[in-house]
Amino acid sequence: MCDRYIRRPSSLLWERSSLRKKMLDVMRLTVVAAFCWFVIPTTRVLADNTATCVARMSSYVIELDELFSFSTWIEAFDKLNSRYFPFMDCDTDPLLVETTKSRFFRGITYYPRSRRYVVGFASKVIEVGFTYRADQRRSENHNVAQAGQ
Amino acid sequence: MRGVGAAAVLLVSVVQLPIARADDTAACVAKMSEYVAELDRLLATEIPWYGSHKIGPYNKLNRKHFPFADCDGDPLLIEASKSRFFRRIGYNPRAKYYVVSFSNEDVRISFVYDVNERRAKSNGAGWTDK
Repeated sequence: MCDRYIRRPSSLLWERSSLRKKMLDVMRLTVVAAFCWFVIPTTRVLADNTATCVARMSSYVIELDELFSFSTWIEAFDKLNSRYFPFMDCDTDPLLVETTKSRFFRGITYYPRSRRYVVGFASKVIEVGFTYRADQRRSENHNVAQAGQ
Repeated sequence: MRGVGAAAVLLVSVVQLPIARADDTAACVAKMSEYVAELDRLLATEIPWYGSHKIGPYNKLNRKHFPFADCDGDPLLIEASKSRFFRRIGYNPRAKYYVVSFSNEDVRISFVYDVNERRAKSNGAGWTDK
């Protein structure tokens, strides 16, 4: 009669192993969640266009240097800029290093509040510049002007 | 065994982040604020005559405050830019350092923040080229 209510040792063992299995499942889920939380955002941040950006900036700097050496015509610089800008999804340092290779590179000024880098190039006649926003990972405000204006 | 491995992965993921972020930025910003206040007083009141001994107080001030170690760059640079005599932050992407300069038209004084070392050090003081 009471036999129905007495748990057999095999049943207890089964329950315990089921509980253990559940705990392992929870733990596995936690590890997967932790992995997603820590690894996936990192790879998303690192996913970028830097190699292309650097190649384009290198090409831009070569053309800019050529233009500086024979032209004082502002429209020619504007045209060159509109062909290359904007630069997007680039790591800041590799991009900026590339700009320093120009013969006409004048310097980089940093604005820490807005995290903007302003890059300047200049000959005696023409000044060219652009801004790179580290927070938005994109360039903005490229400009050309007569030197001293 | 698998559970222990999983727990270890979790522990590494969770613990690594705070370690990477452990720094002295708050203290650095407070120290920079103090430096900027003293520098502003000096640049406003000391109108030096051109003589090597007259640049002394500026170098003395830099020696007193620098170096700053284990600081995040941006908060430190923002604090420096609050000076009345702040002029510019230049950046060298190859060396990864920022040069912060101040000037009252007679004297220029600057410091360097090294991104890799997370450290700011004095870059000395000198006369302007005017």
